[in-house]
Amino acid sequence: MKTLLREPLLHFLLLGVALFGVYGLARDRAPDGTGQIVVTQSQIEQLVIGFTRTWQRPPTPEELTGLIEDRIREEVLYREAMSMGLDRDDTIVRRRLRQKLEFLIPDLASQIAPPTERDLVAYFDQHADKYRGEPAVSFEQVFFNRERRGTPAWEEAKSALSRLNAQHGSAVTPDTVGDTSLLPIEVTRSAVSDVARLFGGTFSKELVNGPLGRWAGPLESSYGLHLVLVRERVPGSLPELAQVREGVLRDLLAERRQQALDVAYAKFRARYAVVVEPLALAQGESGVSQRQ
Amino acid sequence: MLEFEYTRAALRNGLKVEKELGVNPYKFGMVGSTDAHTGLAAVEEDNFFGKTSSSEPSATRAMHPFVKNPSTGLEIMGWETIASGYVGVWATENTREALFDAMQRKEVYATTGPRMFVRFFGGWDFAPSDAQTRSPAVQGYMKGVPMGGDLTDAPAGKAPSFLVAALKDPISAHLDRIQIIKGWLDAKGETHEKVYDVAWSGTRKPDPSTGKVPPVGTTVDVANATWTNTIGASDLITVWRDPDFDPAQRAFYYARVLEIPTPRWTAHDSKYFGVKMPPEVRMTGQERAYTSPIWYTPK
Repeated sequence: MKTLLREPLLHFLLLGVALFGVYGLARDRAPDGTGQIVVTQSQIEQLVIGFTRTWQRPPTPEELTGLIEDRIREEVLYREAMSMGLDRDDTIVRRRLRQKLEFLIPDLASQIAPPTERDLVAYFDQHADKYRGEPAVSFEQVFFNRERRGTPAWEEAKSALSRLNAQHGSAVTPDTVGDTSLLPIEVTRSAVSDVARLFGGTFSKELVNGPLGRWAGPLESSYGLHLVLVRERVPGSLPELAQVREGVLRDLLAERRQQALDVAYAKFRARYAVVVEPLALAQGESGVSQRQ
Repeated sequence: MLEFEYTRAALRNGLKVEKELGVNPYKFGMVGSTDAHTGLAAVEEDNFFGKTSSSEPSATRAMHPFVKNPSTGLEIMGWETIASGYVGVWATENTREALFDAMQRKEVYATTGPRMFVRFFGGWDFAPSDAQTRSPAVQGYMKGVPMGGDLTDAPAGKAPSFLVAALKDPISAHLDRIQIIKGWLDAKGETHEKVYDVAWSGTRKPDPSTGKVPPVGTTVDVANATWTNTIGASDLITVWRDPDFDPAQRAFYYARVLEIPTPRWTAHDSKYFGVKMPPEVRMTGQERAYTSPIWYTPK
């Protein structure tokens, strides 16, 4: 018995019981002092709208009673939790509040001064490269398989090139010179990056620099050598503002929101003297730099 | 091979069931997928993010059990998981409709990771010259059916011929060989299978008794997790005719394309994390592609 009386756990429990008793007696009233919860008409309407959106029909009277009961339950528990200070030092609550403020500030800013047509045009001009399409190319190609032809492949391709380009005389067609391959023999208006992905190597780079309208090469791909006839090069064109208007508006608003947020943050931050305590390094650990 | 564990066994059973029921429930196309639960399609050997979040890259993931079930004794080690795979679709255009149409007609193939091009056509009249044209696929569609298709009504005295071609992934390894796998149902109702080497790189000679082409060799530098494309071929193409055809027997044919050996993700892990893998860990592999079969059904 004596040892039990000296047991610290027992002391702890007794003290706890006493504290709760005092606490309970001291506050049997609602923490906010008024002790009143009013469920307003507009709140009930909100509940009905929310329910209808989910279930595609309005709630029955029993369901509505349930909704209101739940709303009251939420309010009671919310107030009690707040009075106990459960909102403090809570990662989720902090994150949510930060999020709310970060959403709110830029939204207000963009509503105060919606972008004008002139703003839009200016933004579009400034960021033209962002909206420019990729250059495309149309070409035919003849493949020379180095693995099958060996070292003469280059010379053979060269000689085929001059025959293909000859105006008169030797009538060769692409079908009578190259080798078989699963690569497409003709590519129409394909983005240069797609050509690069298909042929590999330096092929696409040389393709966009070579001559137009006559056979040229040999160019090197991941597979071997190619003679190419570039039929058309379509530069990456700048669309009309009307074609990309929605995207431009979205980008401009996003930029403004970010700016508004940065300005507001700088103002808030200036209100505080920030102290970062030096990190206590464990022995032997090093290389962790401090940011002030 | 465990009967109910592999695709090929299901294809064989399909022939058997079709004879009994008149319909083949296992007439499917071949697609490759990751079976990853990470939400990532990162399945290259040098960019393998594992099958689950618990097997994401770490120095020891290869040695962790991936599956361990004490009640069945089943254990799969981390290193046994494979960085794969993709599906290739032969669609007429890059639209949702065309892609789904292609999948519906099974004109698809699976790869274990490389983006190789694979063509496979079956018909009665393919000639060796069809493998030398500039557009083999044009011949393929004109004279036969593509992967996923059907052959029937064999002309008297003719065996099915196949135009098969593969082009390597432009940034991956060279190709070792193309194989055609045949499965068939004999008169007694038993199924069989045979693997034919039909096209291969270099001047290797098939073994006269087995028909098997010797291994391509390897250029893998395991320590540095690299290889060189100094062996193998960048593309392979051939026309092959079934030498053992019996018009009375149901059969399927599909093509398998093998790359030359390359380092597995285990070799990349070993190099990146500077860890030594246990001796049982496989460090190299031959990436491959599988086409949907072409079925032959007697009339």
